[in-house]
Amino acid sequence: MDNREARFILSAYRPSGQDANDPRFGEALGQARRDPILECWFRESVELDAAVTEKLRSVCPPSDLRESILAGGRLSRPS
Amino acid sequence: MTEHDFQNLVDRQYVPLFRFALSLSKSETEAADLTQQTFFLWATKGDQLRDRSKAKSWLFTTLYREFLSRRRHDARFPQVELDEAREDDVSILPNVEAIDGKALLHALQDVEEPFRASLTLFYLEQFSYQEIADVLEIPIGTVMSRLSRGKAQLRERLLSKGDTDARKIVSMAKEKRTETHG
Repeated sequence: MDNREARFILSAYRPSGQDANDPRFGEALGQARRDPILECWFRESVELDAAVTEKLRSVCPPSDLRESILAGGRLSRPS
Repeated sequence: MTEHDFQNLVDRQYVPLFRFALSLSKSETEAADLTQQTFFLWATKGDQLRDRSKAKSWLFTTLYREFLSRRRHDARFPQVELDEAREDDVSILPNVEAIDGKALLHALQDVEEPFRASLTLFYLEQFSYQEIADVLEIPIGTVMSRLSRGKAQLRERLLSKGDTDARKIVSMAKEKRTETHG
């Protein structure tokens, strides 16, 4: 596996680490530990992903959306 | 399905579903409509799903199908050749801390389909690559490709929005030289 392939696979690695034990990432993670340049790229990538995730969480739905869904759901459910 | 079950599901999923819809549709009104429509479909058809642990995937898949159905003949969303985005050419990373949530959302909305759907599901952090593959009904390799290329597009969009001073140089050119020469 070269660094290009490792970067391709590691692009799917979630920033909070849920995928740490997923064997599909094992070889790429191992390569990142051995190669300081790939490790640097991976660290920066995870930091960027975490920052994007955090910002995306600040996006809120309209305040009346929940009530609209619940009201419409009552009408939509089979009686 | 009781009203209590329905409300619990709404409370768990309507916010991430809305964010997903907003990244796809680029319109808050349409995103809210897509989110509502998805739950109304669940209210009418959800009882047919035998494995209730798959309700979340069902909701995201249904919302995505509904979005695609609405856009099927819309010329504003042409098919994108996957080679248009080149993930290995980006040598600069944006400073996301300097960008507010609204600007980030706009940058994400500028990422072309089909990359945007995979990217949003990834950043919502509710789905693994396997789950994204299931929701969007595409192979795992396609998910990874779309994430890789979609992230490159997002970085380009963020950089085009940002101030030069907010940029951060990353030495990927050096990496390329190192790979080439051993």
